[in-house]
Amino acid sequence: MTIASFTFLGFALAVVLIYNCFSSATWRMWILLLADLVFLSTFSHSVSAFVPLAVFLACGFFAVHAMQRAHKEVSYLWIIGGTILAFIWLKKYTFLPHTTFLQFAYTTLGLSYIFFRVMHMIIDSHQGSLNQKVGPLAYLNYTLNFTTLVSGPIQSYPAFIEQHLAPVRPPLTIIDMGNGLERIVVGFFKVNVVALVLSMIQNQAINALSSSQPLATRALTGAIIAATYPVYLYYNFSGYTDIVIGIARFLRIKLPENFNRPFSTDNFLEFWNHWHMTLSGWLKEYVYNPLLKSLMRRYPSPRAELSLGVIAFFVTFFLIGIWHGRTSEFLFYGVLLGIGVSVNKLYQVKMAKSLGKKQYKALANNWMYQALCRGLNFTFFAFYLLWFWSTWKDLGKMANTLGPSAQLLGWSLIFVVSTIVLALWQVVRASVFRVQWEDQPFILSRYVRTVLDTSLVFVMLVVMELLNTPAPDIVYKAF
Amino acid sequence: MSTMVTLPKDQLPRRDLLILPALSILTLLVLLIASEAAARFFFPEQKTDYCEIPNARLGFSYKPGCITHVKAAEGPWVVNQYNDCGYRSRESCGPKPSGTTRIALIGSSIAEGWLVGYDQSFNARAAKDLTARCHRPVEIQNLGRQACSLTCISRRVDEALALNPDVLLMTINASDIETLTEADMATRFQPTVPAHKDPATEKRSPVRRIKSLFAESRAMIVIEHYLFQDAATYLRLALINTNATGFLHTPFNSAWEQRFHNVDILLSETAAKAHEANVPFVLVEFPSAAQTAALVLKDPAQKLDPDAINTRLAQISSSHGIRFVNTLNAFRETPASNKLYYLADGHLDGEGQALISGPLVEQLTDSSDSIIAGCPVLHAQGSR
Repeated sequence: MTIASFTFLGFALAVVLIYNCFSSATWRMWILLLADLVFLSTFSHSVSAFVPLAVFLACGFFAVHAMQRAHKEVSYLWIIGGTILAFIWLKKYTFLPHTTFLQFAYTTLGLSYIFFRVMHMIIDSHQGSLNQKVGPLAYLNYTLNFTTLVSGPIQSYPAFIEQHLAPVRPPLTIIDMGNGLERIVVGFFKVNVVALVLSMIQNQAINALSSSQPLATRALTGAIIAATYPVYLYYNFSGYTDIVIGIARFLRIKLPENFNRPFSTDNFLEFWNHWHMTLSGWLKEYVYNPLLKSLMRRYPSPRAELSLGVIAFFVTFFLIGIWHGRTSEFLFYGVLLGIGVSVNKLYQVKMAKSLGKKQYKALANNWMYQALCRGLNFTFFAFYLLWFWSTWKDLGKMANTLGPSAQLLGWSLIFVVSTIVLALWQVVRASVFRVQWEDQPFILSRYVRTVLDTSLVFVMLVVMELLNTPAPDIVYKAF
Repeated sequence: MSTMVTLPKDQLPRRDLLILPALSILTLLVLLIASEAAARFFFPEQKTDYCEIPNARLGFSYKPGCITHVKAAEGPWVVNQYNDCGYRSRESCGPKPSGTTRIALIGSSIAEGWLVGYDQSFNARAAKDLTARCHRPVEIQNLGRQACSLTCISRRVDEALALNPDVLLMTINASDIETLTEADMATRFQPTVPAHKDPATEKRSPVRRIKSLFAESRAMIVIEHYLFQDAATYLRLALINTNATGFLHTPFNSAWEQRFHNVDILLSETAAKAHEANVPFVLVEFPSAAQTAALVLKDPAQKLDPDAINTRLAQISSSHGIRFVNTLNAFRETPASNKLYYLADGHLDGEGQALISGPLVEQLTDSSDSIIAGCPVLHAQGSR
């Protein structure tokens, strides 16, 4: 079942209606679990396809219980290592021998996000911050929740349980429902219109790219291929997130946000604080912080602080990269992410040292500097995403077709255009938000939003009818 | 506004329960009107032929010597010019000039070249090719008229034969057959055409009215125009109307068998008159858009038979000594031939009409028992 489809919407509507008929937490848990299982069952007709996932979940459950009962360091390390290994093995990372993999087809849908949730529970149980008893029903509801199963967002267990198992149901006001509906509409529009059109543009550009094109046209085609993907990915993934957040609102669950205007940020580190925020937050909490603490304990010299911080950043972002996929492309993607974050951190520290903190802060607040940094950030994002959506072979082919001059021209074009467009967007947005009505920006008034959302629905239906092409599936579903 | 200030943040003022849905409906209305206006501006349409005059025998005919302009939303502006008999032909319908071969064409909209420029129509193309091939003037008196049912066409046979033609040519397609009713058959010998209920004034339920308002809107035509570029989509939607597309499924259902039975009767009557007048009778079938979409897709899973209707018409023609012209192969051999139609409207465009004229000219001249004698094969055929 595709998330951004009317089938899913119909399914979710049915679940919402039944779910809200019951005030008992136990009933609601059973209904949600049933919905989770029905949703999961739409991805394979074979029961055996779900066995590895079920075993992984069962092991996770017992691991959490083991950690809650005893906080032994040795068993903790074994459990963490074993869970990571099981995840890598089930995801069939290519560096493991092929013969070790299970030789039958099985589903790994949502495995990555289940892995994050299970790891969070194991670690928090070990550290003592997750004391509450985890029952099998609550555990399954948390790990398999159909709204977040496919691609998150990653919610913490206490936050989920607090809303889902509250003895008194959290309220569901008409404003909640309106906001939820708005998120669903916006999400559908993002996935089924914007992302679809962008993917079509990129595919057309890929098909049009030819060495017989004049240099300027070739550079433009190359720039379109590289620059459309980041925007497409944003609309595809944030659209999905909007839909599931909207649906969860009707289930009286407030899911965490995953995006906060990432293209408005002006450096690499800030970008990742605004992009796939729940993953960044998870890695910060469970990888970066512990790693940095551990490194600082081992090398307590204040002079090593910067290097240790950079190492911790590099490792964290490298892990983000390789988490996305099993191939060498993703390994390289991870290396680029690691290099990006390290250079960014080093640049910030060096600039603050050479200019002085005040001067550097003033520079960082300069609109021209911000605009250039935003453009550079976008250009670098578009660059390292090449290894995210393409393969070495295809990249080599494109690079050969483009040639060095067109590549240089293309990347320059992306930098210049993104700098201008993103700067203009900042100006337009600020101007629109300056218009106030009833102590809030006019654009955020429920009346204006009603008009805009209705227009989105209308345009979406017309475009879907006209293009008659299914929108590409959620990219992160594959991870 | 004072009520809003005192309300808790999670409550909506009661008036908003009305205002917000009303605003949403209003937005939809504005967008619908705006898109209809834009569609009308960019896709103008003129389907009323101002040369139409009432005709008791046929319902309506065209005023002799009249000129008018029509346009499909999806096509160009077209001049409709009628000769001294009200036929869409350049040549006079008077006595046949000596040395001229005259073909009398009867049929519905495709025969008339409805919504297609005169030179683009299959009859003008065929006349030009035949004139070149036969080294003598070949004219086609086009009695074709849009919205002329098969019984309406049969009412024109005498009129056509009175023109002293060398060939009587008739066009037919699935739509002609599908719209042939038992009531039409029962009243076909009456001197005047029975008055039909005007769909515009017919009492309809409000839901049907709203539905037809959307279905007939220009915006919908534009949507369909783009949507139907994809043969699979066109066919999928066309097949929903099982009554209209029953001719694609074999064996035919009882409704279609009955229709073919009626066609058999009408063609036998026409053939008898042509035989009596010693005029060869040629029947040309032109494929419908659904037939062509099925040809293009070649999807065995669909279990459709685009040839079935032609096979049946060929059998009927053969039994009455009618020469049958099958144009389906021309569409089969032409890439993306499903796009040679005004897709929302359903009529063939100029390029599509060219696919009819080729096989027709071949049949009239090339076969061993050629209907029009003395026309050697030219190397450059057709006028596409």
